[in-house]
Amino acid sequence: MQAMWARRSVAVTAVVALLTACGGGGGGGGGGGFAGSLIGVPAAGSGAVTLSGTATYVSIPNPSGALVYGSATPKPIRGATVEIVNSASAAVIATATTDASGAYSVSLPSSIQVLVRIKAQMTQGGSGATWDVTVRDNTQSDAIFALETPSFATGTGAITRDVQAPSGWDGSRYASTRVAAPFAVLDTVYAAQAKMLSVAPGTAFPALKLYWSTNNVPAVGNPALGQIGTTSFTMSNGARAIYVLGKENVDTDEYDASVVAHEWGHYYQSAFSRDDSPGGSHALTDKLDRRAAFSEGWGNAWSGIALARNNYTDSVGQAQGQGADIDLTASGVAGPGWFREASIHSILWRLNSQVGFKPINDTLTSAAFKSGVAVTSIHPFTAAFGLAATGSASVLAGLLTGEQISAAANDPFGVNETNDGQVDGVLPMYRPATVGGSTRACVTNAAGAGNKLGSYVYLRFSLPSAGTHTITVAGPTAADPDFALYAGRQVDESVGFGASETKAVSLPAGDNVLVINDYNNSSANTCFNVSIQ
Amino acid sequence: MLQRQHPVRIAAALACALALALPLAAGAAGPAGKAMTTAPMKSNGSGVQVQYRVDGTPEAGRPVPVVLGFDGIAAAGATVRLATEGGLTLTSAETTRSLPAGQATTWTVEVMPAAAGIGYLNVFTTQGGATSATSIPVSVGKPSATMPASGALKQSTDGEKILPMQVK
Repeated sequence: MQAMWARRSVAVTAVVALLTACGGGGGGGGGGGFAGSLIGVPAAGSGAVTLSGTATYVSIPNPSGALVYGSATPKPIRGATVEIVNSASAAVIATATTDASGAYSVSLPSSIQVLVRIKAQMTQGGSGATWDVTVRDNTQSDAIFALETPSFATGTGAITRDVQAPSGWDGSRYASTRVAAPFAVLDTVYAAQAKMLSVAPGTAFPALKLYWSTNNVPAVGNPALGQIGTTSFTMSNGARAIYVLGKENVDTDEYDASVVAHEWGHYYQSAFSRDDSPGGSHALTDKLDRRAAFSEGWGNAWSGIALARNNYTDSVGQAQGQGADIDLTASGVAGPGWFREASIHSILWRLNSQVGFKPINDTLTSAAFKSGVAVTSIHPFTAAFGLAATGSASVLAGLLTGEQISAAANDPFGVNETNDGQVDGVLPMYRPATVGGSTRACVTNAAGAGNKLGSYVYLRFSLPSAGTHTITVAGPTAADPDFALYAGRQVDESVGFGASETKAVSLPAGDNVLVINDYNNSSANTCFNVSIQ
Repeated sequence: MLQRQHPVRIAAALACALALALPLAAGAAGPAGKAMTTAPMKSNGSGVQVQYRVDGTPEAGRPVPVVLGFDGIAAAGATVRLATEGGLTLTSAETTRSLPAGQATTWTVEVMPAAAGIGYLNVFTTQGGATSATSIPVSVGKPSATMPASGALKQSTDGEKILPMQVK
């Protein structure tokens, strides 16, 4: 009998999944594109009962940097997978999906013992919008988090079973299991997806795994031990993941929705747009490489756009009582420019507030931005925005000017840029390189090491036809040059050791960009001889 | 933070990470010449760059020096606070220090593990109203590659592991 129930549930699941997939639309944080589903309808006359309820998790707000446990409130668990488990056999006999209010409903056989399991998982297949999101414990075999109720009898009449995931906070510490945490992480992704669906209802989201654990510390080492470095987005062999800190009294991010949304912003770039950022450490006070500034500024802005917030908050320390509170509405930095992530986030946040997210999404997903020769930064964004949202170009121009960034239209290479951030040699933004000869190109550690302003030099050259070319970059003894080549995307790179780097690369006809850095960040003026043969 | 590293560099970075995470074998090279590890910086944190080095082989009941390096200090200066966990104690009396503007600072402290396992020296840096945390692992003995498995783990029919958490 139980096996029969399970088979019926599977059959109905397919139908309802299709219905919910076609039910996209809506927007904002209200759950656009997510419709609750009802699975497990029993055969007529089989003594069915309806089990319904609402699933919530205890949310700890972070209005200005620190978690405020005194303001904890229940929030719905939205879009999550519900499984009804037969207590005797442990078989899943019905499934459902919570709706935007956290509500679920299933039909079950009467008079059996069951438990309700809600997984930290959102999935939707079908031909419309699709997604596959899970929150897992990287220190427990990557298991998916789930809450489970005690076993109870279905009885013979309709029953209600509301479930709540507690935070585990006892007033001074986490004294019991932090059940709410993975659902808080999941809910931030729900909000991010909903925002995306509000402008692109048919979006097929690539699978995303989020890894959270109470053991996740800001330490370099083995993620299976919780040593994840910091909260971050990674992509390896096509698998996209976000690791989230969870160590009490050190750094927890499950309730820092800004932080999780920022990393989802990098997921967005990976899945739907383009991001040439070299990654690495960064701070608002830094003058950054153009690609890093745009990428991190986008992440900050996106957190505000997705969560309908005007600040970015991040708790840390004892009792999660310290933290950062960043105003997204203004850069607030001395010496703004295209190299400041704060300039970028304030521009994009204000642009969204004035023209909405659709023109921004249209730009970031446009061929002009994704396949342009210029690497990702505010300048090619501006050029692509002029094509994707012509009527709003003047709004963006005003914002750019306010941050001391060239507002010239159709200038993806920033030829008209005049702000050098007071770092010698960073302008022009792209220098011409000689094909068949030698070109001198210099980098500097004046603004810091790694991914800072001037750490990379950008050369531009044109090839009459596709072919293999040998690139050689030779520098002083203390230097260790590396390089990457772009032609609408990164087409190759060379990251060996030593003061000279050579590689034969296959390049397309037309414009190419060669980006060079000194891995050793050896001096304030490190110059290379660059040969393209 | 976006994590992206070149393949060749990853090999080097992993080597550094392993050198840090794994205890030095008896008779292995001492602190001389050992490189500092650069801690990852969180997006929108203090902006203070933290480097560190555990000088020697941590042993239970014996202090081991940890060299801390700080850079990226702006005009207003910054502060650092230390705390320990996981059976690790800080033998130095000083747990906070001001970091002067515009210069790199080095601070060597001693920590003592109580027993085999992994303890952490937590380093909190504050600058411009923002605080960042870095955890420095100090391992005694050969660390396990995984955490002890929860007895609650279940496996679904599709092979996925589930970690159930009981609610009322």
